[in-house]
Amino acid sequence: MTQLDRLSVYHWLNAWCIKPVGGALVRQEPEYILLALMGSPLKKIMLCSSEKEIFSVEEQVMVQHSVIINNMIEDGSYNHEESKIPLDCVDSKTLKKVIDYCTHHTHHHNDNQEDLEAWDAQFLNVDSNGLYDLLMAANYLEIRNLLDLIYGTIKNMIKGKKIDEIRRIFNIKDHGFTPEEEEQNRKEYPHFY
Amino acid sequence: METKEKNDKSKSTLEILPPELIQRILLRVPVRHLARLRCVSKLWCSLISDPNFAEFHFHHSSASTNSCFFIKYSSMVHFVYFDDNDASQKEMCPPFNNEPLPNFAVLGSCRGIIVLHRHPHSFVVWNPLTGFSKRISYSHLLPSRKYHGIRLPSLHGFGYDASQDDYLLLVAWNHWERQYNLDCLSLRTNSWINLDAALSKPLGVFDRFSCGLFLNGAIHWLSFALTTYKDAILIFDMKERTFSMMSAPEQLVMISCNFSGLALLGGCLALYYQNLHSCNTDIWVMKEYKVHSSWNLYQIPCKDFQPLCLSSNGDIIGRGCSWATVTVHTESLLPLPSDVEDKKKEEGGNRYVTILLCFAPSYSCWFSLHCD
Repeated sequence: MTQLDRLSVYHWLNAWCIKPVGGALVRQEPEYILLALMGSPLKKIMLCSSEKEIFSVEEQVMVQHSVIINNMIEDGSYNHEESKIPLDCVDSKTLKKVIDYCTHHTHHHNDNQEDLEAWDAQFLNVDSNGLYDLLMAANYLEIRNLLDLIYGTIKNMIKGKKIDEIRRIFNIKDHGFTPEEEEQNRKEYPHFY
Repeated sequence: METKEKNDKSKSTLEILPPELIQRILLRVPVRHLARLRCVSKLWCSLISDPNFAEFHFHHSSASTNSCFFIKYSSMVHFVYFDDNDASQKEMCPPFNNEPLPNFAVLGSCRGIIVLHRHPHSFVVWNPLTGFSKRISYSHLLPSRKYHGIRLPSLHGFGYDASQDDYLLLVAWNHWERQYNLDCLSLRTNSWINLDAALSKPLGVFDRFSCGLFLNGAIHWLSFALTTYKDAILIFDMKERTFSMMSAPEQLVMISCNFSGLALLGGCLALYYQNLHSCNTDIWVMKEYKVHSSWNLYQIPCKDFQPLCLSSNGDIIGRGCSWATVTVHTESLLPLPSDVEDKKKEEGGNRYVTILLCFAPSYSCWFSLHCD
């Protein structure tokens, strides 16, 4: 049998609400065959932060969320026995948070929408530096739902704010307009500033 | 590994984000706020003003719907946002540069661009969000006979031709001999084309201010005298520049001509009229375009109901009798087609759109029509 696309297999299993536990036989034969091919669902992988700290996390958790990690494991460049995945762009604090997010969403994906949203809101209750680091990490690892969540949060930070405030939030020290252009803008749209 | 120096001020300040991430954030901002964000910085201004970004945002943004009501009230226009969580409205002055006699009429709206009729003989094409406007005179079209007073076209329609990236404005005036001259303005070439030859038979008697409905690359008009269901709808295909007819539902009874019209409900063509028998407003919705059997009837127990559009919950929003002209308007930052913009597009355009397509989220908001 050709190598199955792990991500789609996990999604298929989730759709049928099968939670593989310790490789045990949960449903009937066809599902068992799939489980056997994927290996033990509790298999762990190692992620290494920029500060050289190692984090051990369930393979299925990261594979479900991060396109980059899924691809690495798919194409066989990751050897379970020896290697760890180096993530030089991500520091330990952020990596821990990212793993937290992925783990929660894998284990609680059947929860109702409001609970998940409440958890997400609490998760993103960080200062701007933390938010920035999370955004960079999610972008690097290509974790789509986390990215969308952060974009949405930042978009809300912009909403209804005056231009000067937005410049401060986005750390725009030099707006790039000539003094004449800036003055023209301020004259034409005084209520924006 | 050195730690970054963080002072207290930067508690609520993000580090400087790369342009690609800023783009993706801006895609989530409703277009009416984007115009304002051009003032933040030169980089943001260039990102937002890029016609490719405007095009992409128009088609793929996951922000709340861009639609609003464009209401003409005396000499001002009001934008009423009906689908926003913070339902809001704003008032604007049309781009007539403090001329006297500010009276004008709304002819149509397409992809964020509004066409107004301005006395005596001109049309004004306007995008309220970008502020761009252009005046086009049509005095050369009218025969030498002098008309007194404001003379609006008896039939008009405005739509977008995707095959040429062009906007077409169709206008027809009736003359004393009950003949119609049908002319078409191309905004890209800024030239007029006469379409009389495209009509296989002379136009019927249309409603005096019959406004065309743009849908699926064609403009649709409803025949004024709805005495028969056959060939009740006239269609102009923007790409082929030809006319065709479509039938209304057979169940159509003899109706009063006064309050009938076409509307766009949830992406579907809808035909409505006052049903004098039952004192309802009947709305026929064509669920599948050009499939005659897909006409579905919805009855609104209200006499003077003019359907305008669907809300995101599938409710039909309409209005009762009123003097104000209400047009459904979709906001955008799209520019008018012109030669200068073409050159910019050729240089870097397509690559930009491909990159964005790879990372776009997969939400979209589609309306669905339900009725109890």
